[in-house]
Amino acid sequence: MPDFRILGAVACLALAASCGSAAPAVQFQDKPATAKIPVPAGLKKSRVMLLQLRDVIIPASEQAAWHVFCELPTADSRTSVDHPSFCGSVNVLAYGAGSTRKPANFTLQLPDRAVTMVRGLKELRLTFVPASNAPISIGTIALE
Amino acid sequence: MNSDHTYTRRTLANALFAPLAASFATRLGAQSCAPPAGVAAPFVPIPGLANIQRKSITALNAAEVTRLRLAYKRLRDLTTSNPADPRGWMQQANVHCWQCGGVGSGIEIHGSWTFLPWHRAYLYFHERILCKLLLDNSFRLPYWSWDVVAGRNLPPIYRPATVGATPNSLFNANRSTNASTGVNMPASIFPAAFNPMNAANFAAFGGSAASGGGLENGPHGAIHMFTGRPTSPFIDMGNLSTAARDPIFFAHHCQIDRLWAEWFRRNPVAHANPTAAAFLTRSFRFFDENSQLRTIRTQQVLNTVPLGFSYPPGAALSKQSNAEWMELISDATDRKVKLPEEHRARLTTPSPIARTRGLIVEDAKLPAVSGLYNIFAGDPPAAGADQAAAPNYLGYIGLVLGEHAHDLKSTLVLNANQEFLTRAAGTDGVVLTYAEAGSTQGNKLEYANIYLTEE
Repeated sequence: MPDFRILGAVACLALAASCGSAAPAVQFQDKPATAKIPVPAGLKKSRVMLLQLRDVIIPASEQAAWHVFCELPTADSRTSVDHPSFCGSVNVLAYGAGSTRKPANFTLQLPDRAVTMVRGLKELRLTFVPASNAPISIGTIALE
Repeated sequence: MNSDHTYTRRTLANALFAPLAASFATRLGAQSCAPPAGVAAPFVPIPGLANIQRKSITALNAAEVTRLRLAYKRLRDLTTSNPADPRGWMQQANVHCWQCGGVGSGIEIHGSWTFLPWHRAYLYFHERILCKLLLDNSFRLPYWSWDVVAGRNLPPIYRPATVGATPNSLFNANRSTNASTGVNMPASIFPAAFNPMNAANFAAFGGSAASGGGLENGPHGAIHMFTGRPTSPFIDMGNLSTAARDPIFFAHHCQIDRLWAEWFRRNPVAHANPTAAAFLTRSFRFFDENSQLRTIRTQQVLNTVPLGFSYPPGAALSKQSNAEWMELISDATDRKVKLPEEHRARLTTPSPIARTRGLIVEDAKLPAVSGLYNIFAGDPPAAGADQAAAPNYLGYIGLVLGEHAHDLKSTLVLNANQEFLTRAAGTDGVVLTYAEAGSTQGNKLEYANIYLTEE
């Protein structure tokens, strides 16, 4: 019997590729993954920074959850969400049988201490630590 | 997208092909949750509808718990007697299924700024239906106060399958073992530095036109997942198609709605709701308490007073909220509570800045008998007095216990009023007591720790 979860994920990713989308910024499932994004110069003095995760593809029948850590590429499932580098979480519910899930977008406001850290950087390393077993593809990541 | 007057190609296609798609999907084993047909009329607020505060589940007294159970029993009975009645239990659950990516609907109210207003409207119509079934307009939905540490487990009244010999209408078999047995939620749901109540603007808190915000993606989703079964298909709470088949869904979303109201209350300027026409004019359809299909717009739910409900201000006290916590001095033997010396003068002097002060009593030992118990700073008032009006009244506990309840402990959230502060600033401190409503017999409250919170 085929694993429909994996087939679903492959179909999602194939769909993204066939539509001419750029390669996703990051993909992960059961292991952490790190992506680098530029820190816009205009944010150097900003007190509020929003991390935008766009075109996120998750199989419809899966729950998905992950934590984001800033400048901590060694983060893994044992890293506490109270670590100073913790930058946010996303928790997404499953859909019922037969439903489809469109690519989704998520907005995370960086905690104050992360804002302080990010201000001095030109480039930010974001580590995504899965808290579920769903294959996740994030199309684009931006700091605004 | 699903505005009544604006038909895009997508909505038109959905309207034409939804029944076909739903039928096809059903044959494949997928779930069809399409609503009954109806001709929609505009929503108009009910004239003179009383504004009644929704309460925390933990604050419900025994009679209110009985009424809540009766409301859901009648809702379930309606599904049995007439499955096609749009007000019945399964039809109500299907409202969420259909509007949340239901097969053939083409509608998804999650993942954007629609999330908060749609659920507020859904709860409103659900509440009106329950009022109608109860023949009691004073009924209001309770909220699951998981913002306080004591509330971070499934409320006890939702856990047992039966109450005495009667099925518990608040029970649901499709829950995780952790939720069913009252295990606390993992602390990782509430990171100290990532609290949506600290969001600077609506996009970060409630989302934008095409992106979900911190409240939805954070504790909302995590608590759904904690409550539902942990394996695929994650029924009921962990799956958008089935989530509203669990009565705790409505209490969970009442809490989400309360946090929206509270976040707005804290700073109505910086926390303003979006003003874009696309947000304000977005419309949704629900069946009302008279089975009439209604169209309601986002701008009609931004003020809850015309909808007949509000929330107590100063909510969302927690170690992760904006509140400052201060541990009070408490003698382990005589249990006299005192204010820390360095804060006494400030706390007993009237402040020009309005502050909300609360008392958090951790691991308070509860009475072993069901009932309503009032809590006082010092002794209860004399016989015949209105206990809740006494200056030293701090709050109450409503207990509905099973047959084998013993050694129960819970964290209590009480009002730290001026009388308490004055007594606790004295050299002798003050002992907290509890007394059954109407009784003058005070019992010393035993607990582990006690904190004063200030916002």
